[in-house]
Amino acid sequence: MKNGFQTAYGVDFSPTDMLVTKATRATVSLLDTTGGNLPEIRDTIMAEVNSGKATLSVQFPAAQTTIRPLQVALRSKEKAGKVFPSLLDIELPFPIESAICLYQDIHVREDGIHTLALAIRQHDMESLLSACDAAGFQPTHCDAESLALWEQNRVEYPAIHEEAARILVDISDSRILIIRGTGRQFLAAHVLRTAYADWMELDSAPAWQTWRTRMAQIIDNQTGKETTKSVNIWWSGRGALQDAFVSKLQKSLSAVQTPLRHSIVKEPATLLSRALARRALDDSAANFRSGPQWQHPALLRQQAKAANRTLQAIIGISMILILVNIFFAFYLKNREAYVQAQLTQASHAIAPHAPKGMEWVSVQRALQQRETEMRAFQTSMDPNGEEYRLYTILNAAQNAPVEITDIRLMPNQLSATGNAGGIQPLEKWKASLQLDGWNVQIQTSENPETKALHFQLKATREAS
Amino acid sequence: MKHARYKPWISLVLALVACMWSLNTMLSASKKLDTIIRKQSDLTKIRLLATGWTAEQQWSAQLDRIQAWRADNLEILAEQALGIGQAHIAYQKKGNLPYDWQHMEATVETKNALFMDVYNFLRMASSSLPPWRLQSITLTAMPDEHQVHAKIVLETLEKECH
Repeated sequence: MKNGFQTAYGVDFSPTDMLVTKATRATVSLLDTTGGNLPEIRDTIMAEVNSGKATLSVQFPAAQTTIRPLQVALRSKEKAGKVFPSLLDIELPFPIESAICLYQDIHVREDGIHTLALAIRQHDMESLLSACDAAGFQPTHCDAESLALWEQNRVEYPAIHEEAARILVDISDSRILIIRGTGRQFLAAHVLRTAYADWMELDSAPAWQTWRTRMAQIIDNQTGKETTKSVNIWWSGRGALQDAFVSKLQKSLSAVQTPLRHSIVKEPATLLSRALARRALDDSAANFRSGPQWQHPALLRQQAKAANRTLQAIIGISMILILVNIFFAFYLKNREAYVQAQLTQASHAIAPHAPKGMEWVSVQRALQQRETEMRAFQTSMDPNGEEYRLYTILNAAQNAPVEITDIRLMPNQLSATGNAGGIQPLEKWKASLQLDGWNVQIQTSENPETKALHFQLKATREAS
Repeated sequence: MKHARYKPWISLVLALVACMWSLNTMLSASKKLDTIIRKQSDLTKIRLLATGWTAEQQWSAQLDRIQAWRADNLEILAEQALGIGQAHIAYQKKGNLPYDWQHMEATVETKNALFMDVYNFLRMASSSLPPWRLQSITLTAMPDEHQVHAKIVLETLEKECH
C-alpha cells in the first residue's frame, strides 16, 4: 500500500477477450465481463482511475520485453545504477536510447551488486497504449507480463526449498510463455509464438518439435543436466483449462530424463489478471509506464496531490514548531522577568543597591553587616542576659560552697579565683557550670597552713 | 495556482527556520531554565532570611510605640543602689543601628561596694526601658568581707527624641 490506493484493477488484455480482476486490501475478485458487461465495467473502472481512486494495470507482453540479470563488481548502489545502462545496452537488440528500462530488485551480494534489468522499446509502449486506448482503457500500470506471472505463482505457491527448480508454463491464445527460475529468483522467460489453434491442428507440425526441444533445453539449463534433480512445472493461462492439450504437452516431455512434477495453478485463466491487480495495489509492479513522459495523468495528479499534502504537512508542522518556540521563548522571558522582579524587590529590602545578578552576594554581605548591628537588639530584648548568667554562677558558687575572691564575666568567657573547703565543693560548682553550657578548667593548689584549696577557674561557652 | 511553484521553497524555508529555532531553543533553554531556577532559589533564601529579623523589628517598634527611646539615667540608678558618689560612670557611643537607633555603652566603676548593692544596681539597670544590659563585669573581693571592687560594662539602645 505504498502508493496509497485502496483498489487496483488487473486487466489481462487480449484482442479477443479480456479478464478483469479487482483487488482491494481485503479481497481479490474476478469481474464478470461476459454478456456485454465490459463497456459498463470499463467505464466504472476508468471513472475510478481518472478520479484517482484506483489503479489499472495491463500486461506488457513478454515477447516484447527483454529481461536480463546484471551484475557489477561494485559496493555502491548509486555507482552501480550509473553502470547498469551500459551493461544493458550490450544485451539489447535495440538502442537503449529508444528503450524504456527498469532495474528491479537491486541488491548487494559478496561478488557485487545484482539487478534484474527490464527493457522495452518505446515504440512498443506506444502501440500498447494505442491498443488500450482503442479498447477504452488508459492503464496506469504496464507491468512486465513474465515477472508478474512468476511472482504471483511464487506468492500463491511459496517454495519449500529456495533452490528448488520451478518452471511456469502460461498458455494463451497466441503464445506459450515458459518462465524458469528457482524458489528464490526469476531466471529467464522464453516465448513460443504459435497460435493456440495451430497447436491443436498441426499434430506433427514443427511447433511440437520446437516445444520439445526448447523445453528440454530449458530443463537442462535449470538442472545443469543433473537428472536426479526434479523440476516443478506449473501450468497456467487460458490454455491450461484445456485438459487434453495440457496432457498432450506434458506427455510430449516424457523423453526428458529429469523427474518432472506437473501442477495446474488454481483458476489458471486469471493468474495474470490477479498478478497485475495485486502488484498494482501493493506497488510492486515493474511499471514501464513511469516517468513524466509515460505516466498516466491520474497518477501524476495523485503524485502532485501527495506532494502537496507532504508540503502542507511540512508547512503545518513547521508553523506549529515555530509557534511552540515563540510561546516557549515568551514564557521563559516572562518567567525570568517575574522572578527577577521578585528577587530585586526582596534583595533591595535588605541590600538597597544590590546589582542585578549579584543579589544573593549583596544580600549576604548586607546580612553580615546587619548581623553585627542586630546583636545589640538581641541583647536588649534578651530576658536572660549576662545579668542572669552572673546570678546563676554566683548562686551555684554559694551553694557549693565556694568562696570567690575575683570573678570576671565577659560574653562567653568566665574566669574566677577563690578558695574552697575541699575538692568536692569545687566539683559541685563545676558540674553546675557545665550544666549551663560552660567548658570548665580548674587549677587548684592547697594552702599548707590553712589546708584550704585555692583555685583558678577558666571557662568558655559556644556563642548562642 | 501561481503560488504552487513557491510552495516547496516556502516549506523548505519554514522547515529550516523551525529546525534552527528548535535547536537554538533546545541549546539555550536549559541555560535559561538554570538561571531561572538559580534566581528562584536565591529568592527563596533571601525571603527566608528577611523574615529572620522580625523579632528585632518588633522590639524596635514596641520601644517606639511606648516612646522608650532612652534608658534610665545610670547616675540616678547608681546613687539609689550604691550611694552618692560611689560610682564613676563613662559613656561611649558605639555606632548607628538599624531603625534609627544608636548603640550606647557605659562603664561603671565602683570601689568598696557591697555585692548586694552591685547586684541591685544591675537589676535596676536591666529593668529600664530600653534596658541597660550587662556586657561584662569584673568583681574583685576586698579584704573587708562583703565588699567588692566592680567594673561593669553596660550597653543599651538609644534614639534621638523627636
